[in-house]
Amino acid sequence: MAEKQLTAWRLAGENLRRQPLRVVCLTAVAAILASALFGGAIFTTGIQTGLDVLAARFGADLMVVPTGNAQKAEAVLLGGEPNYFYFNGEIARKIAPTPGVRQVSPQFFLTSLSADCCDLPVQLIAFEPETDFVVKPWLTALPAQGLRDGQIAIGCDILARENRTVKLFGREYPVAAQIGKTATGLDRSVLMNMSTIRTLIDHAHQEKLHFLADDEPAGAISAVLVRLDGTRPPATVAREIRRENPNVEVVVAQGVVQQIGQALRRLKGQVFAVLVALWVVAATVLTAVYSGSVNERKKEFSVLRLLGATRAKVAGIVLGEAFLTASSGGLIGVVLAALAVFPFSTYIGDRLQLPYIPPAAAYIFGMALFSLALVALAGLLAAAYAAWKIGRAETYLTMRAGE
Amino acid sequence: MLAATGLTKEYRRGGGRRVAFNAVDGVDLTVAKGEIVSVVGRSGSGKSTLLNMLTGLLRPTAGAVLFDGQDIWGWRDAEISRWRNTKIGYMPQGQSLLANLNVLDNVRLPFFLARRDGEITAKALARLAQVGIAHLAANFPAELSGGEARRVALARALINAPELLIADEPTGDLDLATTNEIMKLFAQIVGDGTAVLLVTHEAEAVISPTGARIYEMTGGKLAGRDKKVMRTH
Repeated sequence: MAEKQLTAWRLAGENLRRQPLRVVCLTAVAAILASALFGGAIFTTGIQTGLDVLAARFGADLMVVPTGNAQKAEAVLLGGEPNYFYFNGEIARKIAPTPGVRQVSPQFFLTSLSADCCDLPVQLIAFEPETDFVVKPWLTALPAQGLRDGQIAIGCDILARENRTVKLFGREYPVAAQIGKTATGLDRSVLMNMSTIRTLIDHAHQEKLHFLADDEPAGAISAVLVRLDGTRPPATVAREIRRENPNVEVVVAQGVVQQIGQALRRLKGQVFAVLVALWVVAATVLTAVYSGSVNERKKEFSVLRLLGATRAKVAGIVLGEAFLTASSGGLIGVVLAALAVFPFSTYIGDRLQLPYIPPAAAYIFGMALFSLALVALAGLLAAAYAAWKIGRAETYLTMRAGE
Repeated sequence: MLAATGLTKEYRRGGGRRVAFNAVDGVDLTVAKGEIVSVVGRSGSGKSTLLNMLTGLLRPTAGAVLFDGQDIWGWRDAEISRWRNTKIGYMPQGQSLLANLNVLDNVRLPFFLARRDGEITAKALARLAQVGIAHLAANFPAELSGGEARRVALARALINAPELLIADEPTGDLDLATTNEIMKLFAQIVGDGTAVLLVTHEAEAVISPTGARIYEMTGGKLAGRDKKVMRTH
């Protein structure tokens, strides 16, 4: 059997094994740094991805809603807060000729107070298949004819029953498609065409359930989604729609995305500031600890020199200890950050009112490696001064100082 | 084998007008193969400074240290470290074992500080047996008495079969009985063909091993006492 070698790594490991308190402190500092790096990067990237998806899938350039409901509309769109509001369906016909408008499509919102698919109420959105240009791109898995009467499509956070149906107001509706993660209110929405929602309301009435929409005249809608032809700026068209239709408000998609973009930039700035502060603190603490540790152990390093260790070998032991503590702390930090970020990221995104989509596995893996490398490098750099100092010191003097 | 010529180490001390003084002042010293040389002197006489210059640990202000005719201070750190690891066995003053390694690993340590082939554990156990503490191989330094720790340091100094064993006050804080046992070991080592250079306190001079050529160090200068210890322990 090969005998156990006393390599620089093993010497470093033995030193650490016999100094549990020092190891725990160093590992903890490295873990905090790694978790902040990894967690911060994954979270902000997730929000960035969510924002990109939101911008790409918003679909409409403008969203026209009844006066006083613009914020509710944004909440439906972003936070998935179920809401309803109505105005006369004629409004779509009035908006269509506005210069700069290419296409309009009405939508109808309803809120289910309870559904067996979900713990919370869900948003029901009905669209008009003939004019729709917003929902269709999300339903790419469907045949060309799209959603048929009686069928529904569900957001990614809605759970279908085993028989691929969702029960709404006492009736089961077949699920024709499930939409991928959008990090918007759509994730907690059920989509159907106008005919299906009328059937659904009739069924609800049979179950003695009534809606606010019951009081609205036939043909009431909740929103008109507008696609522009690009000849006029969205804000100008929005102004004109408001002028021509006094009882409406217009949500400009670009404005919403920009608003979230600003919030994201603020969040990124804060995360970056915290990371920089952590870096400075961690680097200071690690440098102080390694310097102190090397000062305490002058005699030990002198003995190694007396026995024939080169300056490089002694420096290697100091750096090896730093690498071991920093990388193990880094690993713990990455795991802890993963445990904190992945299960709660959607919740945190909701609280911050920002869309969140988990980054791809390859990015997460790469970021974990990058965080580990950065923390290990921080440990090595912090120990480098101590290693250099002990490497340059006159052994005779350090031996005497260590006594 | 080892020859120092005109070896000098100058230090400066004092406040604003720093005064130069020679801790070691023009020392000439030789140690031949299989010889035992003892340098005695009071604390502060410059003997440890001399020893550290002789072993390539402290750069002299003037003079040369020759080993087999080569000036060791002309070598690079890697060469001087390799020389110290292979040709010199060093017993530092006081407790010098690494607290995180057990006795066996402390003894094996010098073998792994330079690139080598072969196995060392059996040799390390044999060295521990030679100094009479093979049964302590698994213990840690904190569990050893002063005499036992010194024996471990001696076994460690001998592990790479050095040509010259250098010991800095090897019995400084030991009782007389233990001192005698250590000195017997030195005599045995010399008998095996290894040269020994001892640095001791004045008080220890009387217990230098049999046959030792004795130098006396005073104020950084070295003078031969022109006698050998003939007593048998």
